[in-house]
Amino acid sequence: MDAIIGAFGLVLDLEVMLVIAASAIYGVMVGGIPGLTATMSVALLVPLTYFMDPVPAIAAIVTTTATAIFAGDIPGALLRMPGTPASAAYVDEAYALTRKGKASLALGTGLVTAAIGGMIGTLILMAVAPQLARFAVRFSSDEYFWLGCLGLTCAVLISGSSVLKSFTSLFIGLFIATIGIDVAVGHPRFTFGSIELLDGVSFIPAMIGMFALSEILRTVARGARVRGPEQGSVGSLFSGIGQVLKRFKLNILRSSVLGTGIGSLPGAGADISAWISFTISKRFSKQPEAFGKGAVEGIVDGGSANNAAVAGAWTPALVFGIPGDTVTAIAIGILYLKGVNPGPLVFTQTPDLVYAVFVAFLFANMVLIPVGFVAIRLSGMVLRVPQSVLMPIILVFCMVGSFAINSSVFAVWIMLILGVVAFFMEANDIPIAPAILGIVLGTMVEDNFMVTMLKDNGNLLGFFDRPIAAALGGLTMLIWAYLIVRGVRDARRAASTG
Amino acid sequence: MRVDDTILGAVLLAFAVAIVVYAQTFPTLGGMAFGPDLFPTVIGFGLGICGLGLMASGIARRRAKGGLPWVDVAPWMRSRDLGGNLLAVLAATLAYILLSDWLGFHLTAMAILVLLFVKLHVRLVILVPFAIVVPLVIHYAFYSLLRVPLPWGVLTPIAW
Repeated sequence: MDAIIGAFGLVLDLEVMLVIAASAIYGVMVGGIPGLTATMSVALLVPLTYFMDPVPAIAAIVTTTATAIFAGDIPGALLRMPGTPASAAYVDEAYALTRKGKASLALGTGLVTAAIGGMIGTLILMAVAPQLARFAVRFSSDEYFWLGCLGLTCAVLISGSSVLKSFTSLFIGLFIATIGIDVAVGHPRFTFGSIELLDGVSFIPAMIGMFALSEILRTVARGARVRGPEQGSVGSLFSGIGQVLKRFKLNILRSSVLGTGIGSLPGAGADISAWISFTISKRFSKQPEAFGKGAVEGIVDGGSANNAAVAGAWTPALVFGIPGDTVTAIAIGILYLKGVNPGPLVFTQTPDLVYAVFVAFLFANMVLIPVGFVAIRLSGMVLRVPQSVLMPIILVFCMVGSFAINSSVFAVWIMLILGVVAFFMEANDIPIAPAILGIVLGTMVEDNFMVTMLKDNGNLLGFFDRPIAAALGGLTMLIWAYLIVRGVRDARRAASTG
Repeated sequence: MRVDDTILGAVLLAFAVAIVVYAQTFPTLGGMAFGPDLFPTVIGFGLGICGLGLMASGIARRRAKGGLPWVDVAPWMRSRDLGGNLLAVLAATLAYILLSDWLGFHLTAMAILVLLFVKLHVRLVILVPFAIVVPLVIHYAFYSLLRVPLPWGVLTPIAW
């Protein structure tokens, strides 16, 4: 309880409040611009958080994600272009409502259910994470090794791409993580005499390159379009919302819980939560025929699930130090830079910080309603900013953001090279998320592997000595076996259908 | 630019072999059978298996269906305008890396913005104010507020 009160004290600080307000406005703007994802908005924010204390830094990330995920609904509903991938699941429903002149119902529903979903997700996070942490305190390097493997494996399992290509991405990320001085004997690996590479590939320019620069390259290669606003006017935003909430209260609850759960799986984020909740919504709906023609029910389910997932993703991140999605992967990177090592010990060593994350989430979802309201009102303006103006400015931000980390243009090189790599990966259907998890988790997996091996004198069976480690290891291997079977089946099918 | 899985697999395989061979030159941990070479070797093998798998599925697909292109030509490869956009972004980033120290942040950023705005057909009324204001705003945020030592370059005499 003291920790919660302490956390309110940390967050109810003028600086933190200003950061939350500014991040909410920033998140809504970036999320509302088609092509700029929530992950990209956070990646661009990282250089700024580098100069903040841990609490405002985390508050900034949390608020930006929560608001950006909602704001993705705005161009989705008005232009049928989801602002972030998380809004893609129900974009057809929202746009169908707009065409019927009910844009305000679509957006109002999206906004209110997003805030409720985010709140429910946060409450679940507050209830579950400390319990899990209490359990996880007993973990040693064995369990952490397997947890890391499990996290990496889930990234492949859930990426939705071909198994081979997801694994390819994962190994590319893991390879990048091995660059630099190794953990066991301090031997420089793959540095080819570069002093700057001894510390490894810095995470922040890697992130900016893979998410922001690759997106810029994709946009200009497609021809930066100027999309004029073609939406109908948005009427009174909250009329009729009360009825919707009352009618679909069970949907909101179901999708929020489901979204939190899916979000907490490593590698699955807001977009997958929205898709699954939307599919379930359609299957169990009393009026399945309304879907595709503007079903508010679908928006309710998808909209609450994706924001709940944002909170859910923080469970594994805080408790085990394993990111639930790309945003928490970035957040973990930032926490490490600040000297806070996410894991069960944070709950006992710096409980204030953990609860500050929770409180920041609650505030972010509260701020969402007024900021979202204004954003919907001003949406015409945001949508009118042409990408041809936006992309060069974002590029300058990317360069300065990478440079800022250790004031060296070497980081800009890293951004450039990985941006180009990510551009080609995406063009060839190789997903980016597994690579990012590989970069973040690679060092941790190797560290724990080496420690366990030294402890057990090089006996591989030592990884199964402890009961929890054995269970985690068994589970990981089961998923590996499943993935191999699926990979072979995919390949056969691809070969037979051509 | 979409490359046929066969080529993609072959490139990955070659890369994987290079990783594994190079990793064997790493020293091992006193008396142990493993050391800094272990993880890169495992990763190299994993990548190699992915490469072989992609080659196999690529070859099988080509056999089942002849006449598939080796490289799928992306719109930007066909259009000089779009390809130019891509090159302009890469050139701008390279220019920042190579020139910012000497030319200073303001002038480099301004040059980059002008180059890209012109390439992306941004109208002059938008181009001019944005190219002037954006570097100043970014410089204020990062240099003055966050204390990032953005270079002044040739503007050092008038640094503020």
